[in-house]
Amino acid sequence: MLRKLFGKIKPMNMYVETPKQIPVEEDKPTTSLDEMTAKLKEIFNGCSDVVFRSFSISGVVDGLLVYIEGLVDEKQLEETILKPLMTSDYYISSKLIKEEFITFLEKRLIAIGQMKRSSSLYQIEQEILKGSVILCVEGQSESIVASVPGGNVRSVEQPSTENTVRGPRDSFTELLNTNTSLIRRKIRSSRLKIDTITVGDITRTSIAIAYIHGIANESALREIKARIQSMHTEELLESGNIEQFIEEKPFSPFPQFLATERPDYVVSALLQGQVAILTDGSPFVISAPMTFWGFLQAGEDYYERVVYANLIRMIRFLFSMIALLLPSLYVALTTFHQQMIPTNLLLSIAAAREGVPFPALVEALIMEITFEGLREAGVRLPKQVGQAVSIVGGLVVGQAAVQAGIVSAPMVIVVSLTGIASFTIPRYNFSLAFRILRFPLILLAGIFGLYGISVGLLAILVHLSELKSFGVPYLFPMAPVNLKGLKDALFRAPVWTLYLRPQAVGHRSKRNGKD
Amino acid sequence: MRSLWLLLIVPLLSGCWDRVEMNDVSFFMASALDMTDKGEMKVSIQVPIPVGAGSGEGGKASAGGSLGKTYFVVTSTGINIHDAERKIQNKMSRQFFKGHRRVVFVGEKFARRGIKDVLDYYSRDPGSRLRTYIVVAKGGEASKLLLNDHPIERIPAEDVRELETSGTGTSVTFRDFLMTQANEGIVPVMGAVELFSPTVDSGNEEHFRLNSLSSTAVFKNYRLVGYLNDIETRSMNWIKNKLDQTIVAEKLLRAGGNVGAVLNSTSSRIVTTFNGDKVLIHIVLNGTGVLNEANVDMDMSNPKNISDIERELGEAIAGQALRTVKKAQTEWKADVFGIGLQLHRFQPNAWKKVRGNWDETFAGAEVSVKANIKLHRAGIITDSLTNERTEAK
Repeated sequence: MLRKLFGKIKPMNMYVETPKQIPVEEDKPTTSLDEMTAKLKEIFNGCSDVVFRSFSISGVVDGLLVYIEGLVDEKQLEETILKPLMTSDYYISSKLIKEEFITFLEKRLIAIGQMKRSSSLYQIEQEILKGSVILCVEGQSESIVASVPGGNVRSVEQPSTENTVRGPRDSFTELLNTNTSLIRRKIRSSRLKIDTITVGDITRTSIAIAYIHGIANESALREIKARIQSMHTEELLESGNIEQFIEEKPFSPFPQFLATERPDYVVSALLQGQVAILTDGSPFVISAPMTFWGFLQAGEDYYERVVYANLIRMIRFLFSMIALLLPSLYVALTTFHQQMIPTNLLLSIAAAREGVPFPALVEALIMEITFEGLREAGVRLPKQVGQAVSIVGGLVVGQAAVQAGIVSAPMVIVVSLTGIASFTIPRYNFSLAFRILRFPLILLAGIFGLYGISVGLLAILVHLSELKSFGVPYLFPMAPVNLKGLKDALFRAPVWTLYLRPQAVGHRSKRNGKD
Repeated sequence: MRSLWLLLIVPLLSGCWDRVEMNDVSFFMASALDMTDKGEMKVSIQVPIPVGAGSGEGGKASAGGSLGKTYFVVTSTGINIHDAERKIQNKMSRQFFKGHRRVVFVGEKFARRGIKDVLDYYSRDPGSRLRTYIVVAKGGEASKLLLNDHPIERIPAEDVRELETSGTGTSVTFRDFLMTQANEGIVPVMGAVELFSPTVDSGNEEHFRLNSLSSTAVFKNYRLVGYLNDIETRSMNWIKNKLDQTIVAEKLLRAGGNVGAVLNSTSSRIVTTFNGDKVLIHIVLNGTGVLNEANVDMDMSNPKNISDIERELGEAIAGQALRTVKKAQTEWKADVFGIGLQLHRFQPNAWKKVRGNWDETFAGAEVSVKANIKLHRAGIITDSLTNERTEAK
């Protein structure tokens, strides 16, 4: 029933309108600079940020530079294009102008690394929008497209959402080139392939699909490319948009993509056979196929020594369970199964609950929703008022509500512990799943007790076992069981024993030595 | 997806429907069962008073309600426990919860009349736990024990439970009692509690008294027949191999003084042999420990002196054990030690001959006890301080 419903909803999300192309007959090359200028001015009518700069090459041939202000390094533009062209001492004969003038310019006068030629008006338009400089010359059907990137972008900084004590400190930025270079800096192999596709009819966002040839899961790679190419959308502002378009189970609470701003995580994912998708304009890189356990692993699991890494991983698993279950267990135990609480603890809880006007279920829901609200407010708050609100929130919800007898102190402890526990989950998008699932579990616990929790957990388990991320079972290597894969699931074996790459994701090949 | 929907229906088929908020529950901490003069059953319940937020205590989970107490006691009479509990429920604003009951006290008068009906109720009712301790209130009414304020424990019943778990006296739960009762060749016992003044001078009037789990109540055919005192209780537990650790303090005539020792490990062995119709029971008690008090004029660094003390201490302990067995033989003809059970398990053929009349056979058996005591250390000094040679040095 739901499948039918979802099947109907999903295509409606897609924007089905073919991109507006310039008619072919108008796209024909033109040799007249005036005509060219007129055409471009028509295209960029009302775009005040597009600069048209007319000049003369050595006082002989007229030229035109077109670029967008702010996307181009103007100082470099002057040094490498304008100055050499305007002050060139070369004798420019009419023969040269007629025959190979563009080649001459490329070879002798323009000192720029990345450049190409184009005679398509449509292509020229796109290149201008991407931030290239267009040089049109009188009498030439082809124009030179030069790349002089510049403008103000954020530099590489420390990651703001994923911190580690040990490990690299760089993070992705909004610029695609920077992001690909951050990955390339860590994988100096020609086997790292980066394909670039443009998506979004209006935003024309560049996205890069990175994978390591020979390691990446081929079927997943094909699938990801095919799905991205079949996306139809006007806008692509963040990698999250792609994720939503191409993931398999959009209504599952569990994410099927890793989303990270740490290059080392992406590199590690690539080396495990995943495919990464980088989006221009977003510091978050997504990669797939991911498994359940992958979301619970942090970089330190591998950077730190094996004993400590395993201890921390156990703590993380324990607290993930607390984040999911503690409020519902508290509700179930205090309203259904009082005999399961040790007597002295029971008396303390009973004393604290005395005078609380709400049933434990309502109390838990009030506190959890309040906490989620505080958390949401904390994310949105300007930094200057953040501290004030957190003090008020902590005081009001914690101390005052207990003192006023509206909620009990154990419930405040439970909720705050749950809140803290949910931050131990290293991937933010994965902790969201636990935050969501907490609420149905609380409801089940309040209505059916531990029985309800068991049924709820069973339902989650059923869902997890049928979930797949690009053909890889979500619970791999637990279900289906893979003994070799278990070396790095619940526990992490010492690094020298992890000589096989994860079988589920990429090729099962040796990590050290030749493939 | 379909399986997921099926699972969501599952909760509706069954479930824990007995949802009750903690504010609407009264926890039974202890019950006391007595017999009135009219022969009716009198049931008393000890219930904690939870007081917390909202009463101006600043959110502290403190105890002490308007009565200034941490608990109160409700009493009612009836033809049986259910009748009495029904009347109690009528007096209470909150629902009963028996899952946390620590102790059930049985009044002496009631115990002498027989506790068979009570056992039926406690083993049949799913709300009651078989791991609840059952204790006889020696020489008085059980309900008095519920009303005794304890200076340390918030709930007085907690004190008795702690005494039971400490392993010094006889600790028997409903489960233990029923299992013993079901066995042949052993007579069930349970702990017996008395109220004592915390100080030795009984003339010094104290406003509170303490429970003491020093003696053991012996039951025959569900009826209380008598008590073993504290030393006899220790001997019994030792013979039953249920003693973990004990302190022995004895006057030793040959050594010329008295000693005290902590025995960390104790064990026993019972050997039953037959000489015609006569049954011979030989009990060996073993104990190893540390000599901690030696008020004797001896050099403790000399192993011979230590072994002298060991031997004399063993004789004293064997004497106590023998007197205990004799008491059980003559006074009640009750095999509280499980000697018959031992025979049943290890010599089943011999047991078949005596099982029909074990009580009499046990009463007429010839008993000998030997105690092997080993003292590994004699504390951190060697000579006794009273030893004159030490003073001379």
